[in-house]
Amino acid sequence: MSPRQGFHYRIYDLNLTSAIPLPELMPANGPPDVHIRLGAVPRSLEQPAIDGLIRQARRDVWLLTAEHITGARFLVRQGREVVVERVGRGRDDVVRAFLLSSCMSALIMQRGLPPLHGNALVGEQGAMLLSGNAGAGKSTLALALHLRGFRSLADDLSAIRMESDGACRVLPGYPSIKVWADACQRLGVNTSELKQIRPELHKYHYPIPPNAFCTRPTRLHAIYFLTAKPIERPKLKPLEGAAKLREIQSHLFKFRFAEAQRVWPWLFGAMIAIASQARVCIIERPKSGCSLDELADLIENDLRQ
Amino acid sequence: MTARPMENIHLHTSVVQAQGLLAGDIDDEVVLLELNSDKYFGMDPVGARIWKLLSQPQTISAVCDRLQEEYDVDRQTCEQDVLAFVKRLADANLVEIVSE
Repeated sequence: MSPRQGFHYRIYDLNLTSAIPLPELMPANGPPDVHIRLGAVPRSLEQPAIDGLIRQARRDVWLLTAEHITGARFLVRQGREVVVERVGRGRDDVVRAFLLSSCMSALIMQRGLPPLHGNALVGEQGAMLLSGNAGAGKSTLALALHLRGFRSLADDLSAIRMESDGACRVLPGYPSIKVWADACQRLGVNTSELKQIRPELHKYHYPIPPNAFCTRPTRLHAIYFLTAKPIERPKLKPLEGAAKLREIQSHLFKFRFAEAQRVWPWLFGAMIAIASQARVCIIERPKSGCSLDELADLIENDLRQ
Repeated sequence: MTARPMENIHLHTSVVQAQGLLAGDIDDEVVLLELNSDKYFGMDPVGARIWKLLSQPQTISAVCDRLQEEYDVDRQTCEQDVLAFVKRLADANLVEIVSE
């Protein structure tokens, strides 16, 4: 065997070998399940089942062609391989960000794992997901709960696996939470020792120490969808039945279901399993002036029920 | 607005579950996803029972016959409620009319 080239990591219960360093990830050394390599990437797919402006997909192939944003084209194949072609003067940090978000999301979809946009934390009852749209305050609340003693399981993208025993388990991502400077300030976290994500962005990597990061797939217990509203006090609303599915779908992918189903036929069954097993709630928080303690209390009280 | 004359559903109209739906059970609900509209619909246990009876073409009247065996309900209430419910299903394209 030739020596294995590249950087070796573990993410979502997979060993990953990458030609591009991804320093947020946990190092690992097992035989690789997934390769990230540099190579030629086509400009379009033939007969895509999903055909968007910057992305196309068939059952086992997914293409991202937002060169003007990313400085690269990305091809994700068969849940095993990500090919990156640098185009022009792309920035390394932007390429890395797309590898860990869009490409990883496509990769785990190809492996039959629904990726929910948001953070995952572990408490006594199991794994909880904090989801919501960009700007909803997921990572801030995740850090607040983490500082209260919840172990971190995933940041930004949480992969859910349907096990053979029928249980849904959330898989470990990487030991870091990306947080805004003002969130750090509100939580009393000193940013002077944190690594900035990008020079122009007031956002930081908050590193999770090994004993506070959960490295085991953990049974899904609850999903909280966070949303900012023009209200005075935060409110928690438990969902049932169809309302659960609506929320879950809108934070899994941005396609119409009929399109998604052509590429991922297992998706509806997976969503039903998630919705049946998890407590699912919406948390409405005031647009401004909401205390993080109050939000964290809401969740902790709900988990105790 | 839908082109089909929903007002015409009556006791002897035969209806059946529409094509292009995905269905599953969550909590106490049967949940349907209508793929053309990308909309989810939830049904309580009685609604779910009616829905399941419509996996084969049935008249409203035949559905009421079955429900009266299973639930303590008088004929008139049953017919009114089932008609109203099936009209709502038809408006949402969840059932199709087989014959008049």
